[in-house]
Amino acid sequence: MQEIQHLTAAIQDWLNGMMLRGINQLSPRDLEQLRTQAERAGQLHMDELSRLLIQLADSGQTVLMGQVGQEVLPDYFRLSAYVQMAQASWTE
Amino acid sequence: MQPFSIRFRHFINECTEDYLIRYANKGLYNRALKDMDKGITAEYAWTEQEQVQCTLSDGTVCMLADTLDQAVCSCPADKICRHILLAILYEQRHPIHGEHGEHGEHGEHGEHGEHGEHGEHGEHAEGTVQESSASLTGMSAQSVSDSGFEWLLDTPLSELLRSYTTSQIAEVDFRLSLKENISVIQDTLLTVVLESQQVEVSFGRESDLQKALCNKRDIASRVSLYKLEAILRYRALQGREERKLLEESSYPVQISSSAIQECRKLITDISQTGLARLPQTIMARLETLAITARSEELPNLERTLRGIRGELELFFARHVRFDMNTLMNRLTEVYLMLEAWEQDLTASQRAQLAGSFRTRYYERLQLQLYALGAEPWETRSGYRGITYYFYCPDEMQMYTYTDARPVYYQETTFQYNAEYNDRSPWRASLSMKQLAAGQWNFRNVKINRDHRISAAEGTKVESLERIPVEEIDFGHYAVQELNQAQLHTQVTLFGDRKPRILLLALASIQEITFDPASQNLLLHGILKSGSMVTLVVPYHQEWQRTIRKLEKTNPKQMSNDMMVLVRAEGAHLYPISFLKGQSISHLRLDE
Repeated sequence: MQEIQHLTAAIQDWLNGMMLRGINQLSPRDLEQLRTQAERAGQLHMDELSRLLIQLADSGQTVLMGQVGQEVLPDYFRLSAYVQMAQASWTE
Repeated sequence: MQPFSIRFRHFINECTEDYLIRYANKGLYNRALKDMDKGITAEYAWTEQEQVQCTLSDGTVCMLADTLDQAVCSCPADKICRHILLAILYEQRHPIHGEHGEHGEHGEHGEHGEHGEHGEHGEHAEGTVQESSASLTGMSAQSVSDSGFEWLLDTPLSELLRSYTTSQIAEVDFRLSLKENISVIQDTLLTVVLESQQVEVSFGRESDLQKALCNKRDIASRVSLYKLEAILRYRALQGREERKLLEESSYPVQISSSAIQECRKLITDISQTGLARLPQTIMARLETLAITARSEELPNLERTLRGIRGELELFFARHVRFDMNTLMNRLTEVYLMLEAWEQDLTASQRAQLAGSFRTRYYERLQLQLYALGAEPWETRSGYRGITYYFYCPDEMQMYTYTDARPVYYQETTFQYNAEYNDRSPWRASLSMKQLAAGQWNFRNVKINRDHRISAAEGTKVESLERIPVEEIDFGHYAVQELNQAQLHTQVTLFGDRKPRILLLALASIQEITFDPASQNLLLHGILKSGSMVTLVVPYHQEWQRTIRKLEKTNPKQMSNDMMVLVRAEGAHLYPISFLKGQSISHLRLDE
């Protein structure tokens, strides 16, 4: 349980960090962190979380490659919602 | 359309005693009968214009048509009078001949045959009475189908609702959620009785809801609500499940919103730019959008935008209370709300998203309320207020009244003490303080789906003797054992997160401590059930005197065996008021 909370805290930090810097500052290193977290989530059997992380990493990748029209925000906020609701259910 | 003479015959036949009494009243009907017994007679003449002229022997002249609405009389009465009734009753007993050259013979045969049947009715007891408790789908459906009242069940809901506005439909939908006993009497009319409201609506064979008769004298728009309620309750009794469909029709169609579009752009701009590089002008944009959201009746959106604005204000000021997670939560909520808005939603889903369904208030005839607590509060989105908690023992349901004001503008303030001692909106001689300590009967009170009481005028408040709190059954609000399951508040993404309000039976307070790290005053106590409990009173400058006094209080000097009203939110229990016997003390508002 602690490990799961550790992971979600790390993801929350990542999300907060992006919001502070600005999503348009997304860099390859940020995406790398996402993929690492996705792997960790998989190890902890949190498949849905892993899927969301990979999805965000993929859309981020497409944006970095210069693909016009691709949006990162929908996946970004979906991940944020997941983490938010997970944390809310634990503090009850 | 059939010739007038035939329609006229039908009309005369439909004028049974039951129908005439419901349309007019019993007194008028009896008067007409008496006049006839006294020997008043009538002479009839067909006119060219689909009317029958009746000259009574007392000189009065009436014009009858094929509906009662169209009948007119030379006497001063402006609606139905005893002369018109007499003209009809006399015709029933002394049928006039057919119109010149038109179905003369047929007319006469028809009359004799038909007049033999009706006119002998009278007692309601002759009709079939059906009680609402039994499920009578099979039996009643059959008797209905033979009688001409099929339209009551066969008419599609959309057609019934056609002449009603969405707010009228919403009101009827609300009424249908309240318990009501109905009984059905069927003879020449089908009468639905709404027992607790003492309303009777009678339907004829003509499939027109508005032609139904109602015993309640009121303005036309209110009477038509009774008619709709009656037919819908009848249909529900016969097994029709239409509540969902009804609810769908009760929301106004949402036009495309400019606030939604602009909001998407704003959130995208904020996220792409990043908080570190946000210009101060963002605050003005948020403010404008919040106002637009309000004017477009999107309370959820307005509230969230104000929350974001409030949090950003703290961010820009590098304030210690700023919380990044809170801001992220709000931004997430608003983004997903906007995304959801673009989906193909039903009217009720859209209303739920907007938050507008919560703002509709409906009138209740009577509601008994027992004061349970009063809590002052303040939000990050810039609102201040006091929420008063009441309990209705009959329904075992809690109701609240909130007196609040936005204080994000410099000019507006909200002084807790002043508002608490100020008069209540329903009775000038009663202060909110008095209201929050008694037991009351609220009459003609407006409440909404969230059990919130409106400050609207027209509500009467009667005082009752306050029952000792120990004698009331608080149902699921009273908690003996504290465990995780009970403290779970609803985890929701959109809308106000509702904390749970509970009543604890406190045996005693053991210790009072102040925790400097969290800035919370902690009351450690024991419940009647034996469990330990900690009540949390967060420090706030507004209440520092009360908090300091509590901190210095010797627990042994505090009463034993009190009930305490608490708000369960997050992992903590926040006390609101203490109750014992007939007395009540609100933690922050009372000395």
